[in-house]
Amino acid sequence: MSDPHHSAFELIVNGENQRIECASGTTLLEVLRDDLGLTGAKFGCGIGYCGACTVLVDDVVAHACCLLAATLDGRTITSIEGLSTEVELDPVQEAFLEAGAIQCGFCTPGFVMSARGLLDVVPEPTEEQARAFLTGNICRCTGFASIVRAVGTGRTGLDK
Amino acid sequence: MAVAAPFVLKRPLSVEDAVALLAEHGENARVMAGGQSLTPLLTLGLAMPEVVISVDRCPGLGQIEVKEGSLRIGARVTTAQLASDTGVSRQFPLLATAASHVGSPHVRNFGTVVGNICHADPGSDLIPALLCYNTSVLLRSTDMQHQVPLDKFVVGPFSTTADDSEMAVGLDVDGSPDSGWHHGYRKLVKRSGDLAMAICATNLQVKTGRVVRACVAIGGAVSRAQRLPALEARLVGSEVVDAAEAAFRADWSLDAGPDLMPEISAPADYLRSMLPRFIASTVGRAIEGCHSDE
Repeated sequence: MSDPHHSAFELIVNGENQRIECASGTTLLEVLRDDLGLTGAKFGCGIGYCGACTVLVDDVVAHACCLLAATLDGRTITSIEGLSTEVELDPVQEAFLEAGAIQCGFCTPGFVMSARGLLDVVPEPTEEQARAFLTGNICRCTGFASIVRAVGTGRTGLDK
Repeated sequence: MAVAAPFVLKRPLSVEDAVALLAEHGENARVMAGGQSLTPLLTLGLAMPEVVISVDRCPGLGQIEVKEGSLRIGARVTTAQLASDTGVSRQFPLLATAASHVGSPHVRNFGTVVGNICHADPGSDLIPALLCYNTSVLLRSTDMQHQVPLDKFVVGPFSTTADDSEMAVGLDVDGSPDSGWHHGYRKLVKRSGDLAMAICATNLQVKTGRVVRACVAIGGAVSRAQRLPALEARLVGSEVVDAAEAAFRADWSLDAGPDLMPEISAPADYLRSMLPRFIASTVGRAIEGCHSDE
């Protein structure tokens, strides 16, 4: 690789090894959206505030806009595309549908990933824990109450 | 999107190599640890270094070492690590509380404690809490290593005394081995996750119902976080039940008045009216714990 401003590295994205070569200033969000075509994570603020770009890096929540992809060489990334299969949604996604926790939908993938990250560590969060954890995400439609409700039922999906 | 200007990314495999790169590139280089402050600056074009030195592969910087009454925090230790460390929570509860208030879980998972200090944002959650302990920053360059007290390191908004060839490799935090300390921490924000309009951190040592030692620091509303020695002197000797009142009556502006940093949404009149109440309520939070102890 001749360009000194470029980096080459590997990421494991939704279970698949990906060999990436890009400008060193490329964020993880840009790699996901532009190089890999995974457009679930959204570009909102670009400065780690709104959470629309939330993904899991080695199973913990991250703002993909605030990480240089090349510094994540070898690490495991899960985006919203990696949560569901072709036939089945993740319980968190089911819970968001059931609670009506979606308005315009722009923030939804980020909220779902944050909820997944919380529930993986705290399977039955209190409302206070859920609200504290979701400080990294903003819903501009202000649908927070139903989102918090969805997180409360996300572990088992619908409590069927 | 994309960062505002291209740069060369270096990922050295040792601290020695990192400081050698700093010596080579000087003011044209920036060190990145978790990247939670520097990446937005790169995106916004507020920082346009020619070289970014990421320390993500440098060994030996990821540890928290807790000894009796003292703490060493390596340059790759994240805020989440600090907030969840049981030794830190037990011996440095004020610091653990402050760490749990930084940004959001997303930021805490990657943003580092040392990076937070080096970024020197006036709204840093950690600096006021660290000032309530005896904290020094460990600086390394190719030919020397030295320690700088935190209050001599952060000198203004986004400004430290580290020179271009120096990298902060860790923090040393000394607490007091004595018992009877009670802490209070408050952060005033417009929206959760924002940088603070005001932060107050306090550690009070109480013996037989009286404050015998007081550490009070503020940040956010001032150009650099700082201790309030005149206010602390007024607190020492006061009865616990009167401490919040004493803090309210003491004049914080004797200490920090010249550094007041008003902004459009928090003008000077508002800050002058709010700060005495805010500081007093933080002291009140510290002494809430006193009644149940003995």
